[in-house]
Amino acid sequence: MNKRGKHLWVHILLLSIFAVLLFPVAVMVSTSLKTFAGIFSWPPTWIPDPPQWANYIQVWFGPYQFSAPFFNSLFIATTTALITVVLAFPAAYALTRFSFVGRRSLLFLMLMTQMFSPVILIVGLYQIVQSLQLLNTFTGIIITNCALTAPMAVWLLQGYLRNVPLALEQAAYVDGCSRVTGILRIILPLSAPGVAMAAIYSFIFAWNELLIPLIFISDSQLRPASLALTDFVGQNVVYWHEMMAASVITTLPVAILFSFVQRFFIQGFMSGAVKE
Amino acid sequence: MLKPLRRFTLSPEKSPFFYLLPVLLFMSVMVAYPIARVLYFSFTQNILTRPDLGVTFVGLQNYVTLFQSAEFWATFTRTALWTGLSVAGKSLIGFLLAWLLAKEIAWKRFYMALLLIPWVTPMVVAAIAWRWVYDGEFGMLNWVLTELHMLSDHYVWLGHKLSAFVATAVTDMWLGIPFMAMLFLAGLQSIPREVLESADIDGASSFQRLRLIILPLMKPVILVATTLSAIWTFNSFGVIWPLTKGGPVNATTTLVVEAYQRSFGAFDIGMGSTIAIVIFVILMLFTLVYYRALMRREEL
Amino acid sequence: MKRRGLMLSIVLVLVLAGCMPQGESGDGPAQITYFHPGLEQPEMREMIDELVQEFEQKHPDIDVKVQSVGWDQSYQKLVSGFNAGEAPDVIYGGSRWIASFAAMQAIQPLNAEGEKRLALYPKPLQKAARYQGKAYGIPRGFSSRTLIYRTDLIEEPPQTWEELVQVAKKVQQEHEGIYGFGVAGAKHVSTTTQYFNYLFQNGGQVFDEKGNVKLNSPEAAEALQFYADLYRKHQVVPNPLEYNREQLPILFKEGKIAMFVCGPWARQMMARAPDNEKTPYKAAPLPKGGKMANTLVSDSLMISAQTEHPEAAWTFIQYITSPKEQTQYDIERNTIPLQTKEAEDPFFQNDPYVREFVKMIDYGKPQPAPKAWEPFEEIVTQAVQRALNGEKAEKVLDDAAAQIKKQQLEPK
Repeated sequence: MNKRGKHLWVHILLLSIFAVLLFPVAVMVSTSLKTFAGIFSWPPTWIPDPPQWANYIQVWFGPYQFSAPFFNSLFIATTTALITVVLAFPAAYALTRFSFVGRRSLLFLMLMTQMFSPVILIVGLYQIVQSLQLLNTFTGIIITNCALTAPMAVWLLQGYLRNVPLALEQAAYVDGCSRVTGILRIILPLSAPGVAMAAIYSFIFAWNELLIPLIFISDSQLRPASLALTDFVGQNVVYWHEMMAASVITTLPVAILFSFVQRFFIQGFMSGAVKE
Repeated sequence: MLKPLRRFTLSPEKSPFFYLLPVLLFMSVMVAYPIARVLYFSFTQNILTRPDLGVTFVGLQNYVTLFQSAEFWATFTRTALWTGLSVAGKSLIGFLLAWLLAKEIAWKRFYMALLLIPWVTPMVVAAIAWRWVYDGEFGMLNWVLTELHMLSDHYVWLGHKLSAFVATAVTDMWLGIPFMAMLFLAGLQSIPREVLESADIDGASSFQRLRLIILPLMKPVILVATTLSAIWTFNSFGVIWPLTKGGPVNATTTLVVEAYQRSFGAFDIGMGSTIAIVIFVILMLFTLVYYRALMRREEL
Repeated sequence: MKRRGLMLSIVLVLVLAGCMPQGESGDGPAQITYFHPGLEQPEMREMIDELVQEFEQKHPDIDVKVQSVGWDQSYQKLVSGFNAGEAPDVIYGGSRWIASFAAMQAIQPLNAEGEKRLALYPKPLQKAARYQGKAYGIPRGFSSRTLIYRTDLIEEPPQTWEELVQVAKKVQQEHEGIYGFGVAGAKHVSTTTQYFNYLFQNGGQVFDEKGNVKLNSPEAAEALQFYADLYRKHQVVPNPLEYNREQLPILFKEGKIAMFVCGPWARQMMARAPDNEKTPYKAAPLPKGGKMANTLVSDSLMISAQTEHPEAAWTFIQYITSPKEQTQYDIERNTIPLQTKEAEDPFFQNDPYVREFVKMIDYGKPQPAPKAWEPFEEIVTQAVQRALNGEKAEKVLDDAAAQIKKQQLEPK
């Protein structure tokens, strides 16, 4: 068999896998462009005629005001990302530049904490947030998010920092720079891609998180997008077309961010397992 | 140059503690304390909606009750099966994709972009989309399968125990396949070309090459990827809850769903916390495996 | 040190922003929060907002803030709120919640005026709003059940269980692609109330007068068997496990089922699309078993025990449940008259659809009142789902009764 023929076979296989893999997404987009009556028509259509772009406008500006939860999410996720990096970066630095008793245990702890599902911690977290009087506030959600993202961020960042050569930093110290200045002037710029990765990881985590706002937020004005999505499952009837439009809107920011950093993620998770 | 530290100091020049302090403080308040609380609750009888039953310290009673109930072991087995099914599916399909994408083919970037789509879909969105795909009367899955003559009549996917079990696992697989494929792809690409080419000269068939050369070389990657995926799958709440709430009957009730139901459905904080602690211990074991797998390759 | 300072100030600013009391001052209007589940639906939200505005105009000394989460999450939110000391002042919720909320001392008994107001309502509703003899709620939403059927496919609605099966089978024989009937079996409160209709009609009880569980009586088992047989033996309903009652009107409107049992709000859902001439319908009394009965489900307004403004809270309840406002509310929501007097309003007498629901009120039985509703609901839906899955009704109800005893849910 010649090389071309062989590759044709690969393409056919790949395309058929992707056809299955993208099926739900196609359904989502298609449904988001239907009318309420259209979603129940049988046999179903793939391309609604005419496509109801108005659904998106309805969801965003209409009575659901999906723009509000969207911006809530944006605020929560951005702040979570910022705080996470501020907390995690110095810690990752310490873990790669100092040797001290308990360093390995600390690394293990970080790894372990990142494995927790919020479900396990939520009862305890609820109490903390309650005693800080932060229930039903953005701050409450943000600090809880940070608790769950910081360990992973430390892990990702220390993986990155280990590959930043010491020599540059040391040159600065020889010149009489203090360590903190050295970090800010030299290490931080050099590890910018790693920092971006940790920030985006935290952003996406916060953007997708459902359980924390579900338990902590009761004021409807404070709901993030993930929680607001569940609104379309009304007491009476599920407005699938509008829900799907909102779903598409919710997915977009993550998709855009992700396309920048997916490569780094793999390295982060595999740190150690793959030599490059 | 790792500087050994001799005595405790907070100096930013000499000590790591200055840098570690913020995160440690934060984590002890936001992680260690909540775990301690949950641990404490697991030793109490405490049903929020039932003040008539009282709040009492019961020692290990909750654990004894839990381990003695057949239902718990059924849930435990179900969780293991569900996790196993999902991880197996993710790994197999992920590996197949990685293997295909590792070949030198055209449109690679295009395929990679497609692969990202399930990955970037927020879990709650995925659950909503799949819920609609599975719908018994209006779902696209039934339509496609009847069009292909694989199904003669509508099937209510989330309405039967076995199919709901598989359907929720498939949704979870769907979310996890891209990540697995990417990890495997990174692994495959790290295998030196000469190794594969030397096999070519020896006339090894595709399958032999996979079994004898690629798989052994990929072992650490596979171990890391499957363990990591097992941890996430085991923890999965966001897929099952919106799809089935653990039903029908209890066909998709995993430990995490059970813990949530106890704590926030029945408000049985004592028993909910007990299950949470059990999950915690299981996760610790998983993490140990993952850590070992990572450490084997490199000194951290 | 710059970096640390910056970090601290960010955290500080965030914490402060969260803690800041929001516009509270000593002698402004009394601020109360009103919790009403399910207002994410724009239509509902508008109605409540208008009502609140009217109230605020007439009572400038009271400021009402509306709070809402979905019905699915409401119970959970309220219980967490009570525990955190963050409960809303006025609560709209299922009357089934009153027992546990009152036992938790999360809601407070109504004053003498409240007792007087409660007397305006039918007896079963009064009963549902009381706990240990004291009035804790004023009924608000309330519904009976009828059989809604396709007039173009069914000439005479079935009047007994046997006829129900016959008629359903006949429809299925005559028409392709439609089920004769539809019932609920998903994890949802409606699964319990749908099953309880049959249980009550068969002379069964969930709890007896003394509060002992009677769910495993032969009558109850027979009723559950019938319910499950509709799906398993007679095959006249689509797989119930996927559907809660609220999805049945959609199936009906789309021509997938020819009959279903629902409350009056079904009309709103069936009529959301203007083109439903395709599925003309009427309401009829339920097909009866041993006797006629149906489960009366009501929602109530309650006052939190934590409120700082109990008078303002009561004034609000008093206003929105005044006979005039209530009648208006019921007509707008297409529901049935709540207060005994309301039934005299010509709307409820003349509308042939609503009239059937009004008739069913007389056969109403209140929902059972376990010590805590949600675990009870979980146990009963489990039992129903197991029966629908083919297990013997006696067995699953024995298990359910044992569970209810074990968790001490009996209202003793």
